[in-house]
Amino acid sequence: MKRIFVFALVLLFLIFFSFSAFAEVDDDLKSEYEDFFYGVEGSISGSLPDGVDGKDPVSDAEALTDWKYVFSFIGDALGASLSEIMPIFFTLCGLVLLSAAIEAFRTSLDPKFGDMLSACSFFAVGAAALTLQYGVVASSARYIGELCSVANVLFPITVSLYAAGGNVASASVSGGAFGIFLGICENVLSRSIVPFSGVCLALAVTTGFSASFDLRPISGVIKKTYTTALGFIMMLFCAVTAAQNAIASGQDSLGLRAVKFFAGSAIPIVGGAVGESMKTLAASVGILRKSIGVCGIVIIFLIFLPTLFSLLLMKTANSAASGFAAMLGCSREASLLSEIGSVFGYIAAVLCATSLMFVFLLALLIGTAAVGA
Amino acid sequence: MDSAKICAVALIVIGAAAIIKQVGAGFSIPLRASALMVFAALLLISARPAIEYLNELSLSVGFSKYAAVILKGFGVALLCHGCASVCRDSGEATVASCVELAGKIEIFLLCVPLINDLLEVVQELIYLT
Repeated sequence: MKRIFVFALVLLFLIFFSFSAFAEVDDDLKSEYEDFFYGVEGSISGSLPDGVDGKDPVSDAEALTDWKYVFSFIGDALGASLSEIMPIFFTLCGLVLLSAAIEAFRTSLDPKFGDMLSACSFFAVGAAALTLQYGVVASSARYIGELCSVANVLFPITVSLYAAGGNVASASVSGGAFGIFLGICENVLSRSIVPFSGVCLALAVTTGFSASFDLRPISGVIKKTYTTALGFIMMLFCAVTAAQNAIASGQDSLGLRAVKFFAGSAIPIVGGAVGESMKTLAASVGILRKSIGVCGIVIIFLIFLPTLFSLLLMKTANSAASGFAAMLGCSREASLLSEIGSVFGYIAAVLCATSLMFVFLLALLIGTAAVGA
Repeated sequence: MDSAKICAVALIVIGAAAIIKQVGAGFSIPLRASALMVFAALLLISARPAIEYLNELSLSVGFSKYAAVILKGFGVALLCHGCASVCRDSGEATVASCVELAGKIEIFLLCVPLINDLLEVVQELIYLT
């Protein structure tokens, strides 16, 4: 009886003297989010839903994380990429069809005329493929270059924060080495991809001058070497990411495994390494969320996705056109289009790798700033 | 394409050539040249709807610039091949070789703007760094 009375007294005390506890957006997050929002490029901020104005992170987060908006944005990005790529695909198929039709008359002509006509159709298909697709390559190269430029600026700021924090030795051991490694990888990848693409395309085009003048074996050696170098860099990246403790790995979950599987299958060359880094990416996203909120995370993905979609769809379109050309017996045009498709695959791989490293560098900076504060 | 008409013209030319050989060997070359021109005209008339259709299609899709080069090259190859054959049949192998060389050079000249476009794109890619 006495115990019941004491329990009832404690319960009454808790009911009458309890206090409410709830999460509140503090002013620091609001101002950081507002600064981030007004720095976003106009083309991206114009595609955000109505009502998202950078003033209130809570209401903006609700609008941006609405599944209808996310799916509609992905659909619009895919649709925009498809509307840009489908005319190019049909143009290439039309030229390949014309080349195949001309090829059918080759036997009735002098063999030397036949060779000249083959070269003519090869150059026509090659010129159409490169001039129509150059815009996507240039915009992707600019995106990767700007990521690298921002990453190069982040590193000295992070170093300054380490110095301002006072505990330079342990801070540099925990995060500085990781930051240096990420910065070096970012620079190596971004500065190498465009010359590599130019050399591969130039070697592919030279086969048009003569069927006996074939530089594809040299192009194969260069691609194998670059793939090996890219694989080595990503292997080191995975090892360093696993060994570092500046960004703690997130917990495994079904969603992460699904994303890991998707990354491994959709992203060429570096898909496995990107998939393995998903836990660290999840932890980095958690760090970024504390500074720029969910809205900032969504906006970063909105900037990244359209470029990736364009590259992957362009790779697919070139591969499909190459298969179509091979089916019609235009082997030189087929190998040229296949070469162009593989170059897009390499650019997509470097884009994913540099974007991942950029997010880690950003998380390092924000994490260091938070500790210093 | 009315292949019956072309076959009929070919048979008439062969018959006329056989008769003219008996009259004078000097008329055979003009006869072959005339036959070549008649055949070329008949082929152009027969192929005109196809060429117009391809032209409209290429304009609507946007690859008219590149398709025009391929079609012009094909036309040059056909013409030069026919002319070179007439020259060889007339015993003028040197003239035939010159005609073929001229045809190849013209096809190469048609490709020069395309090669220029290709080299410009590769150059811009290298300058992107």
